[in-house]
Amino acid sequence: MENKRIIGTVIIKENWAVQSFGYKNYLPIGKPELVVENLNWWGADEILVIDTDSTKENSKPNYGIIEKIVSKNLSTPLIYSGGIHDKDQAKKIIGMGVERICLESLLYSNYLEVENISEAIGSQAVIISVPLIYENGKILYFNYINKKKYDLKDHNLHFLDGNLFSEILIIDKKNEGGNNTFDMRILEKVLFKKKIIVFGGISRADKINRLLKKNKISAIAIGNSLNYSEISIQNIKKKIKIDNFRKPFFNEYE
Amino acid sequence: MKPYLGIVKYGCGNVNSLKSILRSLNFNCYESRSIKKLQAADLLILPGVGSYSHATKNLRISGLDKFLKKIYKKKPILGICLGMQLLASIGYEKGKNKGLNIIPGKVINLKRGKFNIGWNTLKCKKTNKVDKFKEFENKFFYFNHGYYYLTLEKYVYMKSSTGDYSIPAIIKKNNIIGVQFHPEKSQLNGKKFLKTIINELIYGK
Repeated sequence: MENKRIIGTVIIKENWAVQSFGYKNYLPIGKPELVVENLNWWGADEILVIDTDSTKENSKPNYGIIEKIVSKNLSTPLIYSGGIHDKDQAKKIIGMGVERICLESLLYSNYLEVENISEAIGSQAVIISVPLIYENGKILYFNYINKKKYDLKDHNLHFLDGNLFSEILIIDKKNEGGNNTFDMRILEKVLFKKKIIVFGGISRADKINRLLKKNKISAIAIGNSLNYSEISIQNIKKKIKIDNFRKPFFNEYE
Repeated sequence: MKPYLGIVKYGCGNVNSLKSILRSLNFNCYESRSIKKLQAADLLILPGVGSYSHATKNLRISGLDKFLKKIYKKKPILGICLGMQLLASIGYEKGKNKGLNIIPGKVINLKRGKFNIGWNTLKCKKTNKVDKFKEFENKFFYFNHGYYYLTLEKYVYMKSSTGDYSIPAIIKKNNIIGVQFHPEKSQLNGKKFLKTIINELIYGK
């Protein structure tokens, strides 16, 4: 049975873990490695680290932060997103102790390099991030590099069903950081064949349960709300009402 | 004296994850592509995260394939995920590529475009006579792969079900063990598994 996952997500800006609100406004939380360490102890199914500064054009992955995070002896699978432009960077990140990477803009700017990355680290280790916005009955694709929105119909996303990656991370760009504000309508017109991870304004069990019941959704990525309380991953997991799911447990402090 | 674990450096794998977990379990470990250094290890580990074609190419270029094909008769080996798959005779990820042929079998894809990603339990085969594996029955481990190891049933000790498939999760032939999941990223169960299996392979206990 394929078990669905809860992914603890940490947004990083200027080397600090932050609460993000639509990737526009930020509040500091603390040192990224300590926030990640908590998610590891709390038994997240995976941990996603998104470095927002590294998503800018021509930026590089934040190796310094990755190094600090992996130094915490994590026993939870780690996903890194931000500034990956080529195969060598991807290989370096995996070698540092990251299990999967997340790509976005590279898919549109250099598709051949995505092939090279997939060839080097395996497509199981590659996730493609797709920021979307639901607006006036339309689903718009948001490009982080030029900050423009495109009608999903006009934006050529057919290659998102290729074999170069394993899952698609759909980000509700508009509602990211909100309290349970994820717009379910985004999913109505998105017909990717790949399994989907959803992120952006997902915080409460009612919405998580609704999302996890959808066949195409393999995982829920949760950000800000995990930082409001202790053992928040376990508390969320206790309220999940599907069968194909790893129940909460308490990791040992060492 | 602590045993030395040699992690085979072949250009693929989440090596730091593995090293840090092994060190937290009080093992001495080092990563190397030097045959001399690897020969000195008590156990060799083939880590995983990568594609079969890329990995076999790297093994060939470095000459590590010839070394591993000889050394496995004398030294225990633990293959993890892709590292397990490299033990096969042949693999079909990104083309047809020869493996190490240490445990006969082939590595083929799950249904086209399908992946087995996430936490899943292990099931013992009735014929499994290794008690050390049995304690991990029904425990959750982290899987992340799109290809799996098709081998003779006699080498399969534990399986895992993905829904569509029942795949070999642990294979064993003499002192060689391959695991499809990532024990180094399977939290507490993974740590217990590594400690148990490494001690089993080195000391037979």
